[in-house]
Amino acid sequence: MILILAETHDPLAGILQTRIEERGQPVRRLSERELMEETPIAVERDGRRFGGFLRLPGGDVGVNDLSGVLVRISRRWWPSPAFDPPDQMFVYHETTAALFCLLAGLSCPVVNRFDLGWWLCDRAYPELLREELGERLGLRLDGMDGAGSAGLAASVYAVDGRLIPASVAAAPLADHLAGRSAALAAWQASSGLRICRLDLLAGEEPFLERLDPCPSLADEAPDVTERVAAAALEMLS
Amino acid sequence: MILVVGSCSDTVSSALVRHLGASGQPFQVVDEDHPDRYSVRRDWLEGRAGYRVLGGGCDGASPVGSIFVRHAAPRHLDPGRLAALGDLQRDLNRMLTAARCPTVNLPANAGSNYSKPFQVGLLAEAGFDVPRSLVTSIPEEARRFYDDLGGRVIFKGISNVATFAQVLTPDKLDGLAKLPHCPALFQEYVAGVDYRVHVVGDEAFVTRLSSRDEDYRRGARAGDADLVIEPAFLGDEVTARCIDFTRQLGLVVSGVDFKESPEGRLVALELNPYPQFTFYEGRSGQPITSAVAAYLARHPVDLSNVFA
Repeated sequence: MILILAETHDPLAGILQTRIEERGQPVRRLSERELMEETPIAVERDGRRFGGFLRLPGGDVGVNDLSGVLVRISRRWWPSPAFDPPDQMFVYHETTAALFCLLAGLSCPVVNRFDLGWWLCDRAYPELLREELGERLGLRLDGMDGAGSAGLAASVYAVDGRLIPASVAAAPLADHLAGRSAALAAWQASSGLRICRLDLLAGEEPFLERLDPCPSLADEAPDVTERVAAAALEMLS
Repeated sequence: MILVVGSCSDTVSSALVRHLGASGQPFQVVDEDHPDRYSVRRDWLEGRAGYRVLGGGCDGASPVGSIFVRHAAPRHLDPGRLAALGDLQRDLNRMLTAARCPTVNLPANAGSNYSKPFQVGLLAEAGFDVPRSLVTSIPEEARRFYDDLGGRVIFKGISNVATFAQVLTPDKLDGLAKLPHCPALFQEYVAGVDYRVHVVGDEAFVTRLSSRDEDYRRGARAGDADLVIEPAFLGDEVTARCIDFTRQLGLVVSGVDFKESPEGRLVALELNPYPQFTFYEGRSGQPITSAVAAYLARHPVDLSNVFA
């Protein structure tokens, strides 16, 4: 079974769910609230052995029976105000830490397998990723605070080493980086960020202005989302 | 120069600052209790990109050889002050990810104990004996685990929000009914004495703790007269593994907790990336603050891209 963790309006999750169903593969989709509040879990670890299940309507699904997980939750969930404020914070962290433990232990493909910096909404996390990837691909990273950057801004989706331009204007940037796709794929595998968006400024050497580890794709042209979904489907199948 | 980032009301940071002051080592402090006093600016420094820390005693002119970080926890509910602290910590963390000098400890590498059962998995992969563990929000699963282990189970929080470990005694089983509201971590109960291994670079300080309370921290708070905290020895293999594991996580300093059963089974419970080492050295006499200061002082500033 493939598990999709995403809100109902997520365009990438919607396309993927349809494609998986068309293939006749079992797929379940849970919103963040359904996952955090309505899905009982049991995860057991004995030394290096890892097991457990999620209790979904219709029956338990073993964590080792999952063949892939797409993680696209919004991280906007917060426990019910029926809890006292300090208890809300406690329940939030306990539930998030439990879910992180579950996802981190899965041996199947998890797209994206986010690091704790993402789960904890660490505002420096995207910057850390930008630094890592920029160095790995030899992209320009230096920019001074308060200094405007010249050049054309364009976005390119990176999906398991593939470069998918978000616009016609971004196509030359994607072509420029095509020779580094092996390094990109290696970084995406090691970081767990199999889908991300690179915001680049054109120049003799592109400047990596920003890295979005969980791009929404809500404003993208349908063919761009389709291409990202097709590449993601290969990872999950 | 050493840069100390944290709260001046934190006992560990203040102990280090006192030690640095007494030793004559040059240092500066970013006191996160006053976030509005400081700023971090990306700038060209000596021909390459780097960062300047400004405010307090920092004029952004002196190269930094090493950084000690122990971020302040928010202590105010005032949104303005919370936002100022969040902004400063974001800018500092951005600087730390790019800093070429050693950082003790880099926050980006210090997250593993946010999820204790996740970290137990890392400890197991590193070769430590770990307790059998269950994370669940299902009362019947917790009860099954309890029965499987013959009733020898403790429970505690999953995340790094402070909780005390408690033995799951029969009178507490009714409390399992609350699990659907919030999951909990259940672990095989290993009775015995506690050990804390503090790693500082290539050094390790082993401390033995014996308390009547299952969680010695609660015993210490309650003034347990039988609480014994003393230097100890766990063997070179164990301390070497602690040093390697700390390095593997990208950390310099850590506190690794163990339980040793009367039969000699040594079980690793967790690794704390921001250990409260002053609690231990104040009772055992082990010079941990001094070791941290020595580690920070031994790094040259030649390649620094941080100025304060």
